[in-house]
Formats: sequence, structure tokens, C-alpha cells
Amino acid sequence: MQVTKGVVKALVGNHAVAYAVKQAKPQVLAVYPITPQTTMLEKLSEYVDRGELKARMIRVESEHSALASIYGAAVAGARVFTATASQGLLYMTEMLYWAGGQRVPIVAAVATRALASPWSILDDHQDFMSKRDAIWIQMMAENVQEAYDLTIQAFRISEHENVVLPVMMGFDGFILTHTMERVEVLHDSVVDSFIPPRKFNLVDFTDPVGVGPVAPPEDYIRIRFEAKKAMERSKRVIKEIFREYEDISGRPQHGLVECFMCRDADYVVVSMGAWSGDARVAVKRLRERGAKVGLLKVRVFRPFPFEEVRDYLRDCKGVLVMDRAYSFGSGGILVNEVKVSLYGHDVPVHSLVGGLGGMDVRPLHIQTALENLMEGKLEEERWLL
Amino acid sequence: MIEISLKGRGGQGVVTAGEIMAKAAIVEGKYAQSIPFFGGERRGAPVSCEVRISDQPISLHRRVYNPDVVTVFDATLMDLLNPLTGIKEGGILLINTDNPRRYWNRTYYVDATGIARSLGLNIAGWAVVNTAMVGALSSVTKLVDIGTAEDVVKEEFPGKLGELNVEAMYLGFKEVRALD
Repeated sequence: MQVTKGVVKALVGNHAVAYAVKQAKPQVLAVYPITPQTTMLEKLSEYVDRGELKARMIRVESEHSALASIYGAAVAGARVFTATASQGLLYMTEMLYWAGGQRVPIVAAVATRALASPWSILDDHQDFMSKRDAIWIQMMAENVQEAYDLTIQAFRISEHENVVLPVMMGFDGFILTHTMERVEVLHDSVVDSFIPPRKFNLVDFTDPVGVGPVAPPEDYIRIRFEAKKAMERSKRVIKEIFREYEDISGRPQHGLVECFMCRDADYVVVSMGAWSGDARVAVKRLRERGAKVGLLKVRVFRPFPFEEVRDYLRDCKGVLVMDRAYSFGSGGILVNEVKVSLYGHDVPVHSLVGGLGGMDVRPLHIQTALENLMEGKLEEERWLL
Repeated sequence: MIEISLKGRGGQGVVTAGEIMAKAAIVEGKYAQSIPFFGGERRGAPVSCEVRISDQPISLHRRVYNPDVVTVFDATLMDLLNPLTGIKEGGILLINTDNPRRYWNRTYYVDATGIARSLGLNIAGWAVVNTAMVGALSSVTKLVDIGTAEDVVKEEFPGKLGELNVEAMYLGFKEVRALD
């Protein structure tokens, strides 16, 4: 595959995602405004208004209706997109499960934000992580470039014939949605050949069927079993699509996880989202002092990359998992998945919970926790208050 | 890597100033971030924005704690916010005022409000001082070339508004002074 140099732009996260969506050419959009996603909706409306994106923008009165309307359009054969955040994602939740259960190809961007109460418009991952059982593929970006890249990839993954699942692309509210960074965008023609028009239909209009009717137990469980298999199959497809994207963009896309200095590391920090960049800085500083530390960044959270996480971490002396979302009465959501991955392996796994409701986390916090871990002085769960 | 903290009031164009700086740096082939901060923003309330400029890719997403440059769009914020908190030793303060005081050993000042008013750059009674401040920043820090900033401003504000803003930027560039 030919690598064509992209075009460098300065874009805030919301506009980078809107740009990727424009290039992916969805035919139907329905987005309800909510902070910190709203400026993406504004940009998409501008594209539609100027005729740069030939799509129908359905004006809806809620997030529930936003997903309900594009769900219908996607079943009818259209490529569709929506975006939301926080309370909006909660309000959309009933329809999320409908779309996941029916395996409708949809792409949704989630500008992650804390959930009420108390009220906050700032970033954490509680909204995104609380949707882990909705039968959606979930990916999360570290920076504006990755938010752009994952959005383009999401359309391909969602519509792949061996997958056919909705895909959610998470990126940190404000920290990425409103931050301007250097982004290299692909040429339209490159995106056109990467995401050709959707080939298949879920319904045959000459032979109408009902979608999502009542299912007797033996059908219900079989349909759910098929969804589980589709989710498992998607791992291979996602990796193939990442590799193909790497070829056309010239940018490394790693896999379901990204290993940064972690191959020979004795101690590894595991993270997801924008603060992975700050963890990277902490790891580099400790490496300069001779500590064998590394970073494992989770790019795809559903399906969870158990094999990769286990392979990278099984021989570690200690693992530190950063969580920006919490399952109350249980623990950090990511740390629990990492513990499951390491079942049967004798690796101590510690939890660092922070960044909730927009609380700033610095490389120094991560560095200190890693140092404490190496000295055997880190508690099993530490909250950065 | 250079970190800049921009402090002003809603309506003065603080976030746009940060974006012009970041965009100009990116156009020049560098890496940059412009990070706005949101609370209960409205005209007159304190607003802040942070900018990073580097020759290398930037992986940080934390806030700026030790700025190399502090830019204050409204001198009344000096007592209200203590914008110099954490400024690096040898760092630069650039302030919009026609009556400078020695807030810091490296203080630069420019009457950006006077420049904006002279060109009629007002919105709802507020002098939009951002482009004059960007001009002054470019002059004092040399982080971005004034010509690149001009291209970015023309792209952001097409037509007559762009011309006025470019004029404000060059006036800021020329009129900024170091406090002896």
C-alpha cells in the first residue's frame, strides 16, 4: 500500500473528530448538544450546511432519540454517526443496548466527562466505562491525532462483515476535545479507498422483517451467544484494520494495546486515554535513572485484550493500573480487567485511582506511585485526592 | 519545550490568542498545544488558556504549573489571581497596561486595550485585545514569527476584521516595552 503524506493541521479534538467523520461520509447524523461535545456538533452542522458533507442531520430532542433515529437509518442501510458525553450517554443508554443487541453498525464518539452527582462538566471516564456491557466495541484515544485516527478506523471496524457491531470512540473531555494539537489528516481519496461504501444490508426490503422483536429464551440466548462470538472475532479484524491504516498513514497504530518501553520492564504502568501521555513522561524520567519501567496503553477496551495484557505483564515484578473510573463496592474498572488477565500468574497488581471530575494528574504523581511500587511501599489501592 | 500561561477576562479573546500562537507554531513545523480552561465563563469573568510549544512531539496533558511566560490581558487580575504563581526563574511577564508596575524582574508591557480601542476592535463594550497581545508575545518571546501569526489571523478572521486584527498585532509587536 502506498503511503501518501497527509496534511498537517492545528485542530482541537472535537474538530479533528468532526473532520474524520466528514471524510468517512456518513449519510445520516443525529447529535444532541452536550458539553464537552457540542463544538463537534457545531462543526458537523457547518459541514452539512455548506454541502461539504452530504448527509441528513436529524434534529432531535434528546440523546435517546439521536441514537434511536440513526439506529433506524443504519438498519435501512445508511452509514451513521452520533456523539455525546456524560449525562447524554446515560440518557442514550437504553438505545445503546438496542443497537448492541441487534448488532447495528454505528459509530459514536464519546467526549468523556464525569457523571452527576455531584455535577461536573470536567473529564473522567465514568460515562464511557459504565457502558462496557452494552455490546459495543470501545476504543480510547490518547491525543487529538489518535482521536482522528480511531474515528476513521471505527467506521471500517463497525461495518466489517466479520464484525457488524457498533463502535464507541472515547476521548477525554476538554483535555482532548478543546485542546488544539498538531494533527496530520489523510487525503480524502485515501480515506475513500480505506472506507468504501457499506456493502451489506441488514434487511431486504423486498422481503420485510421485524427488527428486534420479542425473542423466546432459546432464540434470545443464541442471539447473545452470536454477539459474544462477533465481539471475539473482532479482535483479529481490529488488528488487521490498524495494520492497514498504519500502511496508508505511515503512523504506528500498535494493536489493541501499545507497549512503550515495556518489553524488558520489571514494573509496568497500565493506562487508557489522555493521561497515558503523562505516564509516558513518568516512565521516561524513571528510565533515565536506570529503573526498568514501562507503559502499557490500552487502546481497545472492548473486546478486552486479555492475551496481550497477560503476555506483556506475566513476568513483571509489579503492575500499576491507572483508573479514571470506579466501580463502587468493587474497585477501579481497568484494574479489575488487568487482574482477570493475570489470573493464575503471580504478579502483584496495584491500583491508582485519580483524575475524577477533572482533577489534574501529573507525571510526578505517577512517578511517585511507581517508585513506591518498586520500593514495596505502595498500598493496594491509592486515590489521588 | 516552552509553556505559556494566558490570563484574561471573558470577552478579551484569551482562548483565541492561545490558538493563534499554537497554530502559528504548528504551521512553522513545531509541535504545540493550546489548552483552554472552562469554569463558569461569561464576559468579564477570569478566563485562562495555556500553550505549549516544542520541537518534539508533546505527550503531556497535565496543566501548566511552571510557565516560562505569563501573559496577563487585564492588569486588575494581578491582585485577583496571582498569575505569577509558579513562574520559572528567569521567566517573562507580559502585561496589558498603560501604567506598568514592577510586578516581576522581567516585566514587559503594552497598551493592548488602547491599540484595540484605536482600531474599533470592541465587542459588547469589551476591547478585544488578543491580537495586539499575540503581536507583543511574538516580539518578546520570538516563539512564532509575526508573519506566520499574520497568516493565521487572516485565515481565522477573513476580510476587513482580519486586516484590523493584523494591524493590531503589528502595533502590539512594535509598541511592547521592557520595564527598566
